[in-house]
Amino acid sequence: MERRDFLSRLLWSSFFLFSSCRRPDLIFTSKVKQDYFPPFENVANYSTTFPWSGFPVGINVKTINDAPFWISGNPFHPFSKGALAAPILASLYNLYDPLRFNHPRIGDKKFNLSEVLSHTFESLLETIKKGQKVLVFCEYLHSPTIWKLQLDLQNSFENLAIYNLPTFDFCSNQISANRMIFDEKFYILKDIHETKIIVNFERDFLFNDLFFPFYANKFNPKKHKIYTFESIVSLTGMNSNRRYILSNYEIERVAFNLLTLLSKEFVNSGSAFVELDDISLRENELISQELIDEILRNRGNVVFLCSDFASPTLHLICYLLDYITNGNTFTLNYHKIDLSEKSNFLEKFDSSLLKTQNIGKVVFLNYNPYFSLNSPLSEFIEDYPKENVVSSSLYANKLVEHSGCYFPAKHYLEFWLDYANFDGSISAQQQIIFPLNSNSISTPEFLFCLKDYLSKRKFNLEEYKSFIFKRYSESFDSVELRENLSEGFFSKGSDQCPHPNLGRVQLRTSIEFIKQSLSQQRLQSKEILIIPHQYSYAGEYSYNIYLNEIPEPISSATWGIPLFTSLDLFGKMELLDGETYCLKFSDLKELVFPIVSLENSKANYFFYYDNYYIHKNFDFDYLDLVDLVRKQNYYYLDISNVRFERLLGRKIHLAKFSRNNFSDIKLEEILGTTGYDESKSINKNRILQDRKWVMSVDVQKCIGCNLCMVACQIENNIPIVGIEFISKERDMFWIGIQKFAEPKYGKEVIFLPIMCQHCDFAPCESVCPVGATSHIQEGINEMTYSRCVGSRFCMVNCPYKVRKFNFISSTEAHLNFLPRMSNPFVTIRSRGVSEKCTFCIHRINFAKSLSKLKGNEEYEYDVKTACQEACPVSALFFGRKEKILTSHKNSEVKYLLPKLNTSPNILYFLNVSDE
Amino acid sequence: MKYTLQKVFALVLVLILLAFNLFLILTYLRTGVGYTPIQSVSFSHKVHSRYNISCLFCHHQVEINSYANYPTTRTCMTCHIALKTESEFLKNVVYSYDSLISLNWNKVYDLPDYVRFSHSHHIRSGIDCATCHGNVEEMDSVYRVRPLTMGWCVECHKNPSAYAISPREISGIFYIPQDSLDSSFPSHKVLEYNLRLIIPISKPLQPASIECSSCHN
Repeated sequence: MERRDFLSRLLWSSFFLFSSCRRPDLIFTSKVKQDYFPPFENVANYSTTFPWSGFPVGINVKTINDAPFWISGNPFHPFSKGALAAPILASLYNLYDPLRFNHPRIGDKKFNLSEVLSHTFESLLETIKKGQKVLVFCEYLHSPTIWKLQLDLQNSFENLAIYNLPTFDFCSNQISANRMIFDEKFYILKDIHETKIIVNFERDFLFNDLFFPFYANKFNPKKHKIYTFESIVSLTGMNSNRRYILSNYEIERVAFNLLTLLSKEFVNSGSAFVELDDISLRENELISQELIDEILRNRGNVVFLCSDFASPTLHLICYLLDYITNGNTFTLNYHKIDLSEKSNFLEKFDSSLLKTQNIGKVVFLNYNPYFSLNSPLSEFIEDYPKENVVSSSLYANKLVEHSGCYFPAKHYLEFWLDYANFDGSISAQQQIIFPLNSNSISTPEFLFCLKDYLSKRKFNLEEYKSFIFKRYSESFDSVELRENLSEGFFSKGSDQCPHPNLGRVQLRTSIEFIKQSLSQQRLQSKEILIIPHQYSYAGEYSYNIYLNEIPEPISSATWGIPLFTSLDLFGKMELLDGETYCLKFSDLKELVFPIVSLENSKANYFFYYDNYYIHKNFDFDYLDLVDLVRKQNYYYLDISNVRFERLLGRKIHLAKFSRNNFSDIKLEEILGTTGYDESKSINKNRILQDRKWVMSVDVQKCIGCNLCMVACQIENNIPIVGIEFISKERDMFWIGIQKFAEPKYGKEVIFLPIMCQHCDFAPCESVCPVGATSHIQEGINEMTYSRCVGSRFCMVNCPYKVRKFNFISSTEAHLNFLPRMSNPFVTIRSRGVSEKCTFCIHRINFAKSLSKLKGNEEYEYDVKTACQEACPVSALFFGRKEKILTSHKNSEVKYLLPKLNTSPNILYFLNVSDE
Repeated sequence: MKYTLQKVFALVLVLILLAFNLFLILTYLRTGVGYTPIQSVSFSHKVHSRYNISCLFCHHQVEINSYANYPTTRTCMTCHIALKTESEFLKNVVYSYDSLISLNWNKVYDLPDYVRFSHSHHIRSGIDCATCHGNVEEMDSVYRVRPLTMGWCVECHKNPSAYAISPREISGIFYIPQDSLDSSFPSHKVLEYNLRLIIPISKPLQPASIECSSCHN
């Protein structure tokens, strides 16, 4: 060996030697804690409300050292009763996201908040004095404080007009129908709590609905049956007992047909219902005799729901259907939501205002006309001079570019407010954390300061809190503020679900109206229908990476949702399934989408669930499509087949609802009763059988909303890996939902949540070369990250394919790692370790320590896993095996892949229906 | 042979490294026994223990939380607002009290992040502070007395009665030893008195769990 070679080798080896050494960090500084009796591990629970499109949903926020890290539902809240939706959980991300820490600015220069506010208020005052109008558009919040502030402002200044606009106009159709039939201006919310049959006309109340938390916790497939009529494919349709597919223009006629058929059956006094003679017989086939028999059998317990966006005709037909089938009265439970008098909600913003009146300034408070597809307003802004537009929002978006003055908005966890529940009680929104962006201000605070300034020429933001507390005490006598705030609401409302006094039912006029509207023809052009999706309600949550990565429940697509349509239209336009097309519209706009055909739809238009790809402004309902051009090198990701791809030696596409073949595999092959003899398990003596931790899954209850996936990601600090990783099948979901289309179990589609089965005879444990995974006495398969060397043998051996691997460290893989958001009780994994569902062992250890502190008996504590806490329909239940088996005595327990003899510990309860 | 000089050089290097490694392993230096960090306030436990101030007077959260807290400046100032106010040692403490900036303490017993150790669990079972921290009341500046390796923890978990010291008076743990119990005293019950939890009577120390997930989760 030459000298040079030797020296270079020596140098390189010493380089490796010294680079691998790292001095341990022996110096550590700690912060001194507060000097009073602290909560256990400094984990405190506060209760507040989330504005779900303006309506209050009660939540409990868990904080550590006063920083929130977990959100769960408040079971005492009258509206939601503990149910949640995915954007509510994921809103934690928006709290800590550094992208929203913007500076307020005027023009292009940055200022701090008080300067911008005084500048804005001054200019507004001048505009009012000049005689020009000031338009203020607020996001809709169902809050009495905001209504009062707005009323005060409007009454004192003539030239100031305030509009509360919802993101999508969900109620005007129903309210015009209510005016006609009841002479009331309320919005009526139908309850499904005690009904046995639900007939649903295109209302996606189990997912894409404004009242999703309200309906989700009442969903119980054992108690009621759902019959859905729809043209689009929705999650409710997939969860219903029977689904009837029809085209968009047929719905009203079919509904009226049902009405006439039923009125024939219920021959009561005054057959005020006349048949519509010109219905063609073809449409009668959709209404099967079976449906009519079911309705007759359950007279008095039937509810007819229809979509909020449907025309007033359909709403009227549904009311009439309710009326007949329930014995010529409205006996079922309704909730009235008062949107009219206090909120000036119904004063619809007339877009002709923009052209006629003399407008000075326009202010947007968290309302974005681009996201709401409010085209007259967004067109107006683009032409309007910048200095006269003021906007406020969480993130900087297109509206902000067009405005001269911008100040960032506060997250809902950062300010105080109150909300009105529909039963008369008031919900409190508490401030949980100090405003992380010190230059931000919320909508009610802005209105409060504006009111002060316009009357007194000065404002003080710090007086807002005392103002709110005065409002709390004004509504009630002798309020125990602390107690009520800890529960989350001031319970003054009634517990009962009233039969509201609906006034005189005006049947004749409504029937006349119906007949008139049905006789008009509907247009059948090539249309795109945009449906607001829960994961990105008009782009509000589009900046949230959690909601982008979690697969969209209907198509299992991530990072982008395709455009759906029916096979007929596909064939007519000669499109290729799954390919990407560039859509050109008549006014020279272009959109790029992948297009997917759905066998289970007869829509003669495209429908699309909006997500962050919406950047343009266009009319909500219809677009004039001119041309379609195929685009190369684009793709969308369908991850429904990732899990079971190579299972049982066959390549399987499990239940892709978008493909023509449903599953090659039947649910029976996968799910069965175990024939495994527990006495032969290798872990027989180690596991305490009576105290085993077990998760029970009620398969028929699962609606497939994917909330458990979001909850698991947030609770366990799982990274959001992005498109590249997912396309390589390197996703990091510890729990996933598989779909099977088998109507014999009572629902159109069965959703199966699959997570680590914690097998007694786990194939992953026996093959680990270093013993990093093992079983504990209480039945959980544990994973020790510090021992794992990354051989991935366990991933190979697991038949359920639930183990995931960190190919790069989770902080690097994470698209936007926010350390403050992470759960302090769960390790953040380094590179090279495999991970899987741990049954939230950190929660079990926490509960164990807490129960030991209280001196309870051993093994006498209850634990709720993250997925169980989040599930809106309570399909998951985690507990000791004894308790669960005793409570489910009559049902048969099924396991996943029982013939492999892994002896899993997830009990699936699935009953074959009695048909 | 050719290249004898390089060979010798390489051999010597390897031998030095091996010796260094052996030295570290055998002398527990890498575990840090005897590690005495310099604190910003030269606080002496020996001086203060003369006045029978119990461990839990300052480190009161050890009974109820997983961590044992550092005392707040206010704890020091309960006495020192009147006693020895002009002492040089107290300058930093007084500055912290006036300026509301917390003191920086250097941690002596630091476990790595992948270990979750819960003080309250151990105190509740009737194990004294001195088992792991030694006789702190006789130390002028606190130094590390145990290696804190996993093997050392597991040894005690397997056979705790051989290693564990039952609570002494100076620790301040409110503990009623097994011998002096009345038959009427409820075992497994917790009495709450003025927000202080009284630790129940310990059963004789049983072997604790050596499952991985109890410390690494």
